[in-house]
Amino acid sequence: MHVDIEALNQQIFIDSAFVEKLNEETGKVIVGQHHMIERLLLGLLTRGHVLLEGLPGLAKTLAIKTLSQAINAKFSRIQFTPDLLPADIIGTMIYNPSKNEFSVRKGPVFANFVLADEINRAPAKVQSALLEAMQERQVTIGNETFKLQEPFLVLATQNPIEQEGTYPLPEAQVDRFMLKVKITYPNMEDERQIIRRNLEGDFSPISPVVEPEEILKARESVRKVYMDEKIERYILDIVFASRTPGDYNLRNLGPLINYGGSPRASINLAIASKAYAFLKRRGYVIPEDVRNICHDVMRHRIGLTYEAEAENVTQEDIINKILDTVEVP
Amino acid sequence: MKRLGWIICCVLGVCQLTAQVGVTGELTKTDIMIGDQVEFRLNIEKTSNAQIEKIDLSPLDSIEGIEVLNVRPMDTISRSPLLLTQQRITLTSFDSGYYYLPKISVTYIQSGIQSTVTTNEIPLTVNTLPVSTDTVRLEPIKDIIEEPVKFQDALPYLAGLAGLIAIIGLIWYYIKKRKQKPEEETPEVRLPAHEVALQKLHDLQKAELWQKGEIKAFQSELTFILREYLEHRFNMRALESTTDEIVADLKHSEIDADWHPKIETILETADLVKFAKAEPPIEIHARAIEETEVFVETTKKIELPPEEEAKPEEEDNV
Repeated sequence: MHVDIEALNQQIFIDSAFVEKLNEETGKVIVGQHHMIERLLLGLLTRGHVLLEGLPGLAKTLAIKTLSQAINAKFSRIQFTPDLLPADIIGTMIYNPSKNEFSVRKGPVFANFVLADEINRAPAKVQSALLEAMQERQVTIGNETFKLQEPFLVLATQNPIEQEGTYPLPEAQVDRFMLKVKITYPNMEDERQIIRRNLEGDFSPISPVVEPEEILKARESVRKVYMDEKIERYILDIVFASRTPGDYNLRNLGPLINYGGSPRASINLAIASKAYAFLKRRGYVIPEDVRNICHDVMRHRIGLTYEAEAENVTQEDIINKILDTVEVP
Repeated sequence: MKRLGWIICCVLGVCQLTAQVGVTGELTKTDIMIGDQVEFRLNIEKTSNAQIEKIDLSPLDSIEGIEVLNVRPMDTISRSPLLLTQQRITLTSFDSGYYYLPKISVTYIQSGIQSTVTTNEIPLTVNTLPVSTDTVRLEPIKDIIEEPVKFQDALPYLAGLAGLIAIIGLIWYYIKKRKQKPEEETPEVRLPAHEVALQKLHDLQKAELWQKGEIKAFQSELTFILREYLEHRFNMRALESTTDEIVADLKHSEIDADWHPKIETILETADLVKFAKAEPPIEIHARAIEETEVFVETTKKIELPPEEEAKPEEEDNV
């Protein structure tokens, strides 16, 4: 298939113009955390969902709320607790005595941006209800099925500390998240800015700079981003190295990996690479794009063995080792 | 003559009368060892008109030192001229000595008259084992009698010996192989990085890939040669790094800064060709391979003779 890369490059450059506007607008409220904002946009552009892991107070809620305001999208936040029920998320049928009939009351999942705060605090039944909605992009209440509004992005957070009384997400469920992003503390300069803005109390109002329709259009553009077969091979090499490290001169990783990336990892690595190239306003994918998003796509898809845990080897170490060994095209 | 005939008739008549019932007893042996068994046979001979009323065997039980082991039923031996019957009685004795089997009486009735006949007494000698009279002298303990050696007796020793020989053989083989290994190993001859790079660049020139329109293959091979050279010559992780990472690493390397933009251009151009289907002007390819060659020639590490190796400032001309 002949692809006119130059024309495509031009087109992508035009289509991705809103990214800068979005960054500017979110930057009015959020200081730093560019990595998180970028990953949220990646999820938005690829129909993926994002699992955030970070300590409280790192502007997770503020980031997604700001982004939803900048996109003019509906935002809802669900605090997951042990006594939460599936109906609290997806909605339920309410009996109306005056009309003598049941009517549907939609749950908070009916929004463009859903923040599932501390998803591991709710039992598996509730987690499954949300994850099913994420996967199917539709919800059934009673006998009626409702399509969820696009764009639909779920941002789930997990607290890495206070694991007592939590219900960790099973590996199969975690695999449904396209990205698992680790949020770190802001640097000193960013934190200085945060203090000043909070002391002054002067937060500029966020105005919508992008309409949800533009996001849907951008998704189409992302699909068109050219990916050479050399890049495809590079992606496959990375994923396969996580499954059979011995084939990639990484025999020492064999005893540390319980299971490697699934085919969903390959798919998401490819899609996310395209979206990353789009965010960089390019019409083609380069190895830098793959390497940039590799950690976020792969870290929750690699299972460690007890031996790895005993030696304090993390998924990050495994991915770094793979990236340092697999030859770049 | 008449008188002679009468005498004969009388004698025959008397004989006829006395031969009505005859009883005899006999032993199969009259001399036995202690514990041996002997058979006592009671033979009764009678005419057909004589009726045996009773055979009294009780005297046999009353002999001290003789035991009756078995009494078989009466058996007919012959019928003519007289009826001969026999009864067998098995006897034994555990006391040595001389015995007499008592008379056995047989009661019979003939022509309404009851009569009794008896056997004669029969002697029986029961001998004991001869006992050595020399009870004082003690015999020495006899030597162990050795059995003849069989193949089965030697089998475990043979198996053990074979196992031992096998283990010694294996150890010997292992030691021999271990000693031989370093001799067999040929030291890996690693050509200098510049020689490898120049050879590959020469081969690439000869292949005339870009002239044939295979610019992607050409640029891929060219950048591979360049990155391999950077990795082996300057210890950069160039093969596993992206263009951006290589460019960033160049700043910290010993490569002259003049070369940095040139290498960056070569790599970025190749990236566009490889990943974005770019088709740069043909002179770009010729210039890229030429510059790479010059870069390798300029930065190659000169191998000095051992005596001059101590002068580090002359080692390379980077």
